[in-house]
Amino acid sequence: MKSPLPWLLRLAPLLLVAVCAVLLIFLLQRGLGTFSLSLLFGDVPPLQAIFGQRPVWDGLWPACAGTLCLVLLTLTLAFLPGLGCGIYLAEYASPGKASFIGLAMDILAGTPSIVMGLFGFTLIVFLRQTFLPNANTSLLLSAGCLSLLVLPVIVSSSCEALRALPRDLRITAFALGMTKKTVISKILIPQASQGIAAGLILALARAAEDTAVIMLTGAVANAGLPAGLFDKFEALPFAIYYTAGEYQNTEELARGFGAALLLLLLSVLLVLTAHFLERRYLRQRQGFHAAGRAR
Amino acid sequence: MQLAVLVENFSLAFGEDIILNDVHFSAPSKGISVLVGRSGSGKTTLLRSLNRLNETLGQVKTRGRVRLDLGQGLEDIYPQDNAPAPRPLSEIRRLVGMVFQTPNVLPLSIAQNIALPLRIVRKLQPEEIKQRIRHCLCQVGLWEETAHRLETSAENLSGGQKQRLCLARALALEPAILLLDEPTASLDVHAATSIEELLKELGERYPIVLVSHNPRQACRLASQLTVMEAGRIVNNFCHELPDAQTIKSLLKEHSPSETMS
Repeated sequence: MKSPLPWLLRLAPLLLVAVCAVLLIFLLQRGLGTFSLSLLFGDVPPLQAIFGQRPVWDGLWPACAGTLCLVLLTLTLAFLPGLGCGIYLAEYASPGKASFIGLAMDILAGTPSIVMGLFGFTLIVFLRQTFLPNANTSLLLSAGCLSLLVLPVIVSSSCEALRALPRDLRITAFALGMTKKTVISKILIPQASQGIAAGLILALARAAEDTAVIMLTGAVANAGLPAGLFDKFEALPFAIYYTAGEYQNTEELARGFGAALLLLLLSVLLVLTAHFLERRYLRQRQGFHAAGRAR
Repeated sequence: MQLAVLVENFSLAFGEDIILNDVHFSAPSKGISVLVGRSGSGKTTLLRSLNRLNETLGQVKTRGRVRLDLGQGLEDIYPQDNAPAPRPLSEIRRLVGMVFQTPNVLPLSIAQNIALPLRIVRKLQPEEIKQRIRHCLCQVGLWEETAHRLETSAENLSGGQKQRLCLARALALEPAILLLDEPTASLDVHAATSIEELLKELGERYPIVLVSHNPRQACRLASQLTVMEAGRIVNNFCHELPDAQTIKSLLKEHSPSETMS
């Protein structure tokens, strides 16, 4: 009898594409109808809404802006510590230390996001009772907790990207008289940039979609455009969650699907921008024929 | 005879594995000194001891002295008791140019392959870097072929061209000594011949230590020939060099089961 394995293997990607298609079609069918400027801006003129001259009360623009700020702030907070830890693990740590740090990373990676949200919430309660009586849940707190959540992704992707580089590359660079510091900063990191960027993109997507952390640490249903690091903010995933829970009529539910579609578009946009920047960087660095082959 | 390399009582071990055992070796300040031996005889390790590159590969223990002429007469490159500390590793490696068995161009453009080390290691200005790129590519006979495409990826070059680029990159750093680890092993006959021609030319200006697995090549290039076996030096020819057949039989003699190509 012929083994069914090849057929099963062929079935697997089909399943993936099918699920993805069904999801998209469902979202488009339910959400596309609501797509209009008023979904974003309500009845405020778009330019005035974008620049914050007039507040938007019944549009998703503040939530979009909030999610954008949240994602960028999260990556800003997580990138350097994540990369630094990845470099340490790949280049400096002894095997014993590496496995110890790896264990810590695994625990952090396995932490459910609701627990991370609870951690942030407890932290603020603690701060209010001790050093900072005025502290409150805010954009900064959300971004801080989210960056803890995405840190393991950035660490492991940059560590793996560095470890995957051919040993010859290091030896070559050392043989040219470079010190360990310059070998890492000028040769290895640029060479591993694709892997590091892939980790960042994953982290970005994770930060954009997470709801559990932000609902305990600063996201609210009506805050307007994000006003500052220490203020509450709106975010798309929270808007979806809120609408799904509290909708009064079918129109409001449809707006929830509109928000879901919007979040998907925003994520795709962010990921494409990241890819674009990465490509441009590679082209500049490697000479123009290699960049085409790099992907 | 003025010496560029002097190795005395030198032993080297990776962890518990002894790779080099009480080696004595010297190389004159002009001409090509060729190291031959079957694989595992320690010739590449000896070569890498001359720029302390073994230390990037793992825990290394060494004993004995290695002295090189890096422009100021023979000087120790490994720390010795009761002696001033040797130059920093990066400086030693910069002054001892190395070319490897497989052409290891950096995954950058042709120009950047030479420019990046110059910028990082020598901290030169862009104008001077430009001149040196041209000078070194001319030196290895690659300028005509690549002048119009310096900004394209070096990985698109042929094997022979890549190896020339590696040589140019090493020369650009103005080395005092050149180390070559089977530089033609991965090339076709035609490319190998032209690299050999180039090496003969360079041998008149630089002290070169070359590892070869090919007795005929060793004959063509050597001004001094050293045979290694099991981490020791077993034969050394300075004046009357043996022919390829003799080298072959020498290698067989020490390793009856091994056949050399």
